[in-house]
Amino acid sequence: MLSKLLKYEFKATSRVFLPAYAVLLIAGAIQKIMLQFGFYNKDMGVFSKILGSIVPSLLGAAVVAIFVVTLVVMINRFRKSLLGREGYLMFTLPVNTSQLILSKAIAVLAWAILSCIIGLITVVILVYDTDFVNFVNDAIGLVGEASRQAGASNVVLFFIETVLTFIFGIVNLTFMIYLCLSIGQLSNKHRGLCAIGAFVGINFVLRNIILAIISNVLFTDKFVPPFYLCGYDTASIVGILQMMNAFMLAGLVIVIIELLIYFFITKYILSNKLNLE
Amino acid sequence: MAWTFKDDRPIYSQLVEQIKIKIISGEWELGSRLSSVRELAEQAGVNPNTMQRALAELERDGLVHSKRTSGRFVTEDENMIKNVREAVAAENIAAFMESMKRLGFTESEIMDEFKKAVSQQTV
Amino acid sequence: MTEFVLECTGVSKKYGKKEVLKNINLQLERGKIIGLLGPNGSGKTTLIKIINGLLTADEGDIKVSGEQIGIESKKIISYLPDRTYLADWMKVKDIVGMFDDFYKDFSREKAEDMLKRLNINEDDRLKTLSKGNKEKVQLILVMSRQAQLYLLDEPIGGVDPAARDYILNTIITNYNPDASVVISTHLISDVEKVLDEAIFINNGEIVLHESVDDIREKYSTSVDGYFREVFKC
Repeated sequence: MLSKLLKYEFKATSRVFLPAYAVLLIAGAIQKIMLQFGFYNKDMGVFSKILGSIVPSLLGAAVVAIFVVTLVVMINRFRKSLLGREGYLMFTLPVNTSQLILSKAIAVLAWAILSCIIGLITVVILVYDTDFVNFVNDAIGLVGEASRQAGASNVVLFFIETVLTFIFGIVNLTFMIYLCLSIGQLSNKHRGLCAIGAFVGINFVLRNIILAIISNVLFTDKFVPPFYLCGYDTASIVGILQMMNAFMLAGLVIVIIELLIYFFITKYILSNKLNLE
Repeated sequence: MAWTFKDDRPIYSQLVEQIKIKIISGEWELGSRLSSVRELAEQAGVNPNTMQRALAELERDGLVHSKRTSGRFVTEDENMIKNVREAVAAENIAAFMESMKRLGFTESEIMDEFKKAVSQQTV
Repeated sequence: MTEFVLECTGVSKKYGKKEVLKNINLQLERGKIIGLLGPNGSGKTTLIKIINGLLTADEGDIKVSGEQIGIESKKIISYLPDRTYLADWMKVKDIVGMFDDFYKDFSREKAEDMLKRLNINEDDRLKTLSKGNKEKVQLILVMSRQAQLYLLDEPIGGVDPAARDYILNTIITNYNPDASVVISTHLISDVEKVLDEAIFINNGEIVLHESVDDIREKYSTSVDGYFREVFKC
């Protein structure tokens, strides 16, 4: 059932993302071609000046737009498709609430990752030349050097944790927004206001409470590393890397605990206190 | 012929009457096969259970009978239909007499009015 | 199969201080078309939403074909809400495909046949359909399922008389002795001929639950007429 929900979720959202990606890639390609052929150097008069300012602006706007669109889709898919009139269909399908929530969260995560990849590809298209190739080779060399000095496992761990932080960070943001929207729908007349109120409450109050509890329970010297955040040799590269890994791990733990709390409260509200318009 | 229903009596008994009329008038021919309960209910715009109840009563009266797998059929008993027809006619005539008497006609006056109307009709 | 397709025992629901449903006890047999009749605000829609899982009762127990309210009950309930609930961006054939995907008892051929007969093009986007056609699409989706309990909330409310006849006709031809249809409406005289039983509900309480034939025999009046008597303002 979850896969079926995902299928329709992707169908609904690809109509927004795929054209946006197309615009971004095409604008990037055009810009690259114009740079490559020294378009901006030739004096084609007004034409080149106009084009010269439109395309870069379009490009910049497209990059920002992709991330705004991802956020808007994150909010809207949940709000419209579950809490609006479409909810009358979704909540009477023979699926459980968890599946409904997860299908939307997984789809948004997939698009967020794809957006970053497409963004990266666009940047590479733009800057690709011999200097860039050299830069990449140098960077790879640097990573190899760091591995030798600080231990390959630490470097690999660093990259893995970075990616996981990104992924769970998005899931955390998603479930937090879903929780705000779910709290908002409890109200009959002030859904938007309550959602915003929930947002403030969660970010300024709930988050700090969770952080305080976790810090006092987990990140103390009663526990062994990797949760123990002190005692690293900050003079050496190994030490720095290990400390960064430890802090990232701690951050990941917090992010995951938070998102689980958001998810289960959201699930409870939608299962027991559903209040469709 | 369209199906019409009044408010104050159960629909199934009105269905029984209207089907009786269809049979004795020959609209549903002797020995002919009836449409399925669902089709009849659809035509009449009524609940299939109601139509079923009406047909069950007609079966009890003998105007309709069912053959195990082939469905329901109008009776082939011409005599019975004749009797039912006459019974319905008698009811109609009684009702007619009643309404005329309420207007103040005597029985012989009713006969005269009737003959007048019939001769005008055949002209 | 259980004897009753729906059993409600002691069902109550409050909105804040207001009691919307008070101790509802109800048993619906299979193979019946039942009218859920009551004035606005009587609790009809609340009861229907509780049965199909959109709301949770505060008290009481509900069993649909012996199942508690949940995924299993949703599999055998076919619900037509009193509003359009379809995603605008979808084409008609997309939503048909979706119902086919999620409901094992959905018949694609039946749906496509009904759509064709009503001249609704499968390739049209739902956004472009008239309100009447959108409602017909929803009805077709609901009636193309071989469910055990159909919950129709105001199915003939905003449609023209010809469409009304078509909807009632579809309900009749869809009749199945294992399933029951609950029609919640205030347009009683239009649906009366199609009903087996009538339930009168007022102020969250069930006031009457009898067969239409019995009502007519006992009170020498149609259900519509009797309703007016009972709910005289």
